Amino acid sequence: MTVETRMAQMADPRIGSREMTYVEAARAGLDEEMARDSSIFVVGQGIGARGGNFTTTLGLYEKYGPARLRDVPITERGFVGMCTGAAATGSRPVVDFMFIDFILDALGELINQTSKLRYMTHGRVKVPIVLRGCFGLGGAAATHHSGSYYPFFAHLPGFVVALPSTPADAKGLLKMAIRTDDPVIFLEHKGLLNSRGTVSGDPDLLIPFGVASIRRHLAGHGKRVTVVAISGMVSKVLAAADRLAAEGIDVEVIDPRTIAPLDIGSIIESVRRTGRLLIVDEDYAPCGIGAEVAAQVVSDAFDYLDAPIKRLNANFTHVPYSPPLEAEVAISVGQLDNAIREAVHG
Amino acid sequence: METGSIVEWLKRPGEFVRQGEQLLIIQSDKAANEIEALESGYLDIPSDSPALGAEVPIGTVLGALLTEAEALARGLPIIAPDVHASKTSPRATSPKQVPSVSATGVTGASAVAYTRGAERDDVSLYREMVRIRKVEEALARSHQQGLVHGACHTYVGEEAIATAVCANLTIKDTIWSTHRGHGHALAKGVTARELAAELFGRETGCAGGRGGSMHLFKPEVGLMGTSGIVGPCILLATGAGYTSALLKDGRVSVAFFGDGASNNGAFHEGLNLATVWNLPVIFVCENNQYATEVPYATVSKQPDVARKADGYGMPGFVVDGNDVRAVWEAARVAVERAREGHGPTLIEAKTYRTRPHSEGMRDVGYRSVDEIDYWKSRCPIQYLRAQLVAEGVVPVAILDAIEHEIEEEARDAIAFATASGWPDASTAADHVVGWKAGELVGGAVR
Repeated sequence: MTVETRMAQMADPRIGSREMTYVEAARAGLDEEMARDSSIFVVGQGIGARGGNFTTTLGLYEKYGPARLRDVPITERGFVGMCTGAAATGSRPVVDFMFIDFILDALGELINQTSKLRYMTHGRVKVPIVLRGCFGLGGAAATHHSGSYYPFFAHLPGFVVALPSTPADAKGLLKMAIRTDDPVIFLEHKGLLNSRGTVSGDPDLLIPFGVASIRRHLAGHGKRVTVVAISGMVSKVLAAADRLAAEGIDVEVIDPRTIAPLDIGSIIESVRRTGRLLIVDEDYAPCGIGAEVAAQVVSDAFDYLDAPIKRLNANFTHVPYSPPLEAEVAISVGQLDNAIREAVHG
Repeated sequence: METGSIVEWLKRPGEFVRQGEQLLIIQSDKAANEIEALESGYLDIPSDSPALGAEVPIGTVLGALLTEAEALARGLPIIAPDVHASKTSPRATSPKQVPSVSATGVTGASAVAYTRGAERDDVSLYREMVRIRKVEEALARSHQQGLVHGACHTYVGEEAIATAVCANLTIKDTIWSTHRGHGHALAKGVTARELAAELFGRETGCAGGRGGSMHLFKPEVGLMGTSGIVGPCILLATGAGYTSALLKDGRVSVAFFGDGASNNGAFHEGLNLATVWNLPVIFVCENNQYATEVPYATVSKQPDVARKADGYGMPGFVVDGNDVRAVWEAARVAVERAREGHGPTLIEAKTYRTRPHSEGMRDVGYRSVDEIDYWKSRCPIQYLRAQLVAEGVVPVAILDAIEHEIEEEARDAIAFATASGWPDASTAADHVVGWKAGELVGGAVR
C-alpha cells in the first residue's frame, strides 16, 4: 500500500477543503493544534498582538492569550535555550524566527542541547520543539535576510528538516512537526507565502516525514529525466517541465518534502524509470542536498544511471540587495531550462 | 552630637574588614559621616543593632569586628579576607542592593515576607555533604586507577551549596547543572551506585554509560542534566520555569552554574527572560573564584555576581557558600518566592574548589598553596560539624556513625560500578530521535 493510499484511508482531504494561501494554511494548522493541546506555545518577535511579520500567527493572540503567544526580546540564543528547557519539561514550544537567518545566533543551543537531550538521557527526555522561519532569495531582503542554511541541520543527527512546497504540505507538515516529540526545523520559502492551493480542513490530516511527493509523473513519451526540486524550486521546475514537453522532454518531478529524513527510495525508484537525475536547489551546491542525493544515488543505484548526475544551485556567493544583483545570484528560468536539457542530452 | 542614625552599612555581616576601611555611614544632626574601622576583623551586626534610620544615642553598640574564631562561633556567614592579591576583594556593598543572608535572618525588603517555612535538618545536611565528599574522593581514586574514563571534575569544597539548595526542593522540582555536577546529582537523588557506574561507563549508570562525569541525568528525580557547555543550564532552567508557569504545575527549577557562566550571554539572557515573565526559577552561582583556571577577579569588574541581579530587577543574595546553614536559608527564601509566584532569585554562594579543575590536571601557576590551604581550613563539612558539636545538640558519636556509614556506601558504590556490565555496543545509535520515516504521530490520527 502506498503512503498516499494509507493516508487517504486515515484522513479525507476533501473534508472542509478550500483554497487558501500557504501562510494561511500553516496558520490554520497551528491554530488547530493550539486548540487541541494547551501545552503548545509560540515565541517570536511580533508574533503576539501583531500577528507575526509574515502573519504566521494573525488572530491567534486574541484566542490564546499572551502566555501562549509570547513576544520575546531579541535574544535568539536565550529563547531557544529557554524553549528547549520548556520542551524537556512538558510543554510544546514553537519558535517563530521570522527570518531564519536569526537562528544562527542560537546554533550552540540547538546543536548541543536541543538535538542531544533525548540521546544523552537515553530516551528519557523528549524535546518537542518546532523551529520555523522564512528563508530564501527574493524581495531584495538583502544579505542578512535571504539565507537558507538547511543543510547544516540535515548534516546533524537529531533534527527533522521540513521544506513544504505547497499550502497543503505547509499545513500537514506543520501539524506533524508540532505533534512530534523531537526538534523539527520547519522552513517556509518567502516566495511561497502567498501561493495558493487546496487545503483540507480535516484537523487530523498529517503528512509524515521522509515521504517524498511525485509532483509530476512521466507522460510516457519523450526523453526522460528525474528532477528533484526543493521547496520554492518545485513550482519553478513544474513550469519548466511544461515548457520542455514541447521539446520532447518528459520530466518526473520529485519533491522530497523533508530532507531529513530524506526519502532516497522514491528518488531511486524514479531514477530507475528515467536513468537521469538533476537536483535543483536554491541553496549552495558545496556539501548541499544535491551532493547528498547524488552520492546516495551513485552508491545505491549506479547501474540505473544513463548519464552523469547534474546539480543546479544558486550562485555560491552572499546575497546582494539590488534587484539586478539579486537576480544574478538566483536560479533563472533560462538556467533551469538549460540544466534540464543538459541532464537529458548531456 | 548626642544622637545619630545609620544611613547605610558599607560592609556585609561576616565580611572581613581591614583597619582603615570605611565601615558605615552615620547621619548626625550636622552631617553624614563615613566611619572607618579602627581594627581589622569580621563584621558582626547583631540582631539588636539599630535599624537603618533609627535615631539612637551616642554610645549605642552598632556592631563589632570579630576574630575568625569568634565569627565562626557566632555562626556568621563569613566572607574570606583577600588572601590572594588578584582574588575577589571585599568592596563597599549596600545591603539594600544586595541583601545578605545569615543564620539569624534575612535582610532586604524583598525577603522580609518569607521568614516562615521548612524546618532545617542539620543532621541530614551533614550526612549529604559527607556523602558527596566521600563518594567523590572514592571516584577520584578510581580515576587515578584508570577506572573512570575521560574528565572528572570534583565538587570537593563546594558540597554545602548543592546540599542546602536541594534540601529545599521536592522530587518534582528540576535542577540543571554543570560539568562539576556530581554533588548536584547526589543531592537531588541519584544514588552513589548510579553515579559511580556512570563514571565507570557502565550500563547501570544514571545515563546508561552514555554521559560520564559531565553528563549525568536522572529526570525521574528532577536531575535534568549536567553539561559540558558553560551557560546553557541557565536557559534550560528558565524554560522549565516557563513550563511551570504555563501549566501551573507548582514546580520550581534551579540552575547551578559557576562564576565562569556569569560572564556568558546565557546568564544575561536567561536572567532577563526569567524576570520579565516572573518565572519560578532559582539561579545559584557557585562562585569558586576560577573559571577553569582564570581568576574571576581578572574577568569581571563586579566582585559580586549577585549584584548583577539588580540589572534585571531580580533580588540577588550573597552567601557564604561554605556555610550550609546560610545557603539553606537563602535557598529557602528563593524557593518560597518562586512557589508563591514572586519570580526568580539569584543566589551567589562564595566558595572554592580545593582539588584541581579536573582530576589529574596540573594545579599550579594560577593559585597559591596558601590560598588552597586557607580554603581547606574552611571546609563546609568540618564547619557544620564544629557548630553541631559546639551547640551540643548532636552527639559526636552520631556524626562519626554517619561518616562510617557513608564510607561503606562509597565502597559499595565502587564495588557496584566495578561489577556492572558494559553497555551493549549495538545501542550506540539508539534514541537519536523518536520518529520513524513515513510514520505518523499524535495518536489522534484516524
